[in-house]
Amino acid sequence: MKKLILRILKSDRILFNRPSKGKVLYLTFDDGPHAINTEPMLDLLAEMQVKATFFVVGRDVVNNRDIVERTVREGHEIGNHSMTHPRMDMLSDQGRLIEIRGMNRLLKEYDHRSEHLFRPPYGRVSMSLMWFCLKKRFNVALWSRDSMDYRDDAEKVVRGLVERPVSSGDIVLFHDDGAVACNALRELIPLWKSQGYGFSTLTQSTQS
Amino acid sequence: MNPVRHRPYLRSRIGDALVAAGLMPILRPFHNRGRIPIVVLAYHRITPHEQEHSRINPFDSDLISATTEDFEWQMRYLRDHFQVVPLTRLVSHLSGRDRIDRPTVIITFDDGFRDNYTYAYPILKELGIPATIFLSTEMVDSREAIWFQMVSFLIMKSAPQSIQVEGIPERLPRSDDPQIRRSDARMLQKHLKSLPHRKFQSTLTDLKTYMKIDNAHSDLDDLDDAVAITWEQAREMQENGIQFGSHTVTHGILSRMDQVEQQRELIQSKRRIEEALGKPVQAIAYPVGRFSSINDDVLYETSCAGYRLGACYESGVNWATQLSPLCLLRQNVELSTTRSRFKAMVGLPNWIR
Repeated sequence: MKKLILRILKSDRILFNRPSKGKVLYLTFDDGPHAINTEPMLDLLAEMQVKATFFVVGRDVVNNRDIVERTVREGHEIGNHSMTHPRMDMLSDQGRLIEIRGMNRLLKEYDHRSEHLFRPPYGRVSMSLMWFCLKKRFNVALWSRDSMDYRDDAEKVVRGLVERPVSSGDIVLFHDDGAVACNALRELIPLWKSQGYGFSTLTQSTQS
Repeated sequence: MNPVRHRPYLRSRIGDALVAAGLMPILRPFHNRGRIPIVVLAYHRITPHEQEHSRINPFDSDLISATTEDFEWQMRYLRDHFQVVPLTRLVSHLSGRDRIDRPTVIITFDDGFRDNYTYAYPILKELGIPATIFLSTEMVDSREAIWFQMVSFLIMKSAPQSIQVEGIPERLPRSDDPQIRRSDARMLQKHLKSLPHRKFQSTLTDLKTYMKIDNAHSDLDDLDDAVAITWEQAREMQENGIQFGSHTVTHGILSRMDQVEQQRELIQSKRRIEEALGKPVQAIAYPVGRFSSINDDVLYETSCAGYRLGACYESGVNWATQLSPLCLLRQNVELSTTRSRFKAMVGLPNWIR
């Protein structure tokens, strides 16, 4: 039993981080696309030639279709952050299916892939939700470092990630529905680059 | 009789008896088993007196949910025994901010008939009870009676054998007997519901021409009762705790439409209500609302259109931590619902449907 759990935890079914040979970081952005804040983030990532993963919410995708198109076009990955951003641990299996499968269907219109990584809204998971995702073969992507950008200002976010340095394979959580992440990353990306880190999207690294 | 139908019937009779015998407090822990029930009640029309029923009865007695007297009793009972919250409270519940932590009841009305304003609203306002009304926007804008009421009216009032409907072998109504007329009206409604959307619309247009020919001089006042509230009335109700949701534009069955029609129904109705009332619309009640009229495509398009909550017309309970927000079950209240049955429906909703 213990072995089984360990095997599941080590497989790609549930990701917390993704250790790899080189020095790699995975930037992830939740809760977008945002009409005002997502495009500056895309501008910054393009300027610094960094690829990242955006866990987008269905109801916002529908209202910001061009931004999602741009995200995919510029080589970023889009992931499943549900249709309406509810607490998944409070849903029935049917409710979960509508949220996750519906979102996969919507994302497919943009990136033509039938499977996407799923990140539960509010980062809330329960045993029953994990079991549900295993059963239905939805791969879950959590994170190993939380930037706390939804709570703190940019200065504090930078300090938090510098004082306790990142390590290779970390999945770092940001949000692109506010401007904090963009301001923080303007400082952090050059710093991490100077430390020899590369950046990758989550699924691309699975394929390579 | 169909055995599948028999069981819930028997169960609900037993339930009524148990409640009448005062066993509900003992049964509730076994019913809830630590879970928190959220009961959504579905109402249609509320009319004042018994004689009023017999007047409206010929048209669509199924749509009358309660007399004002019963409705007032029901609301008082809920206020005294449950937490009654607006439907959109589920949105904040699902964000984890304002969680529902005790047995809760939510009140909804389908179609937004005028009597919701005249008879139900004063009671709700007096008792301070929130409710949600689902509007078919075309019905509000056109001031016409909703299609199934129109169909009933036509069959009840037209001369025997005067109506020919494509796909139905006999001319309607088959005879002058009110009983036969009533069953013909139901049959025609059922027939219309089974058609693909376009066919449905063209058949309905045909029927409307009959209406003009046959009833030009007859008393159309009866049908006037079946019109929707006005936007003006809706705005007034909104000031006093009533919320509004979508019931699509035309009250057509979503699962029978193609994607473009579905999107039009879902998006335009939402936009129209938001524009008229100035508040975001987060909820929809699916017309007809049986599981057969809500398939995966409907649910997908509904969530894409920006709805957070969807109400079915299938009965049962919603558990606070096992919700299906786009497929909420609702207990429907009917004229035949007795007081003990009402208590059982809200108190033991998983058993008494």
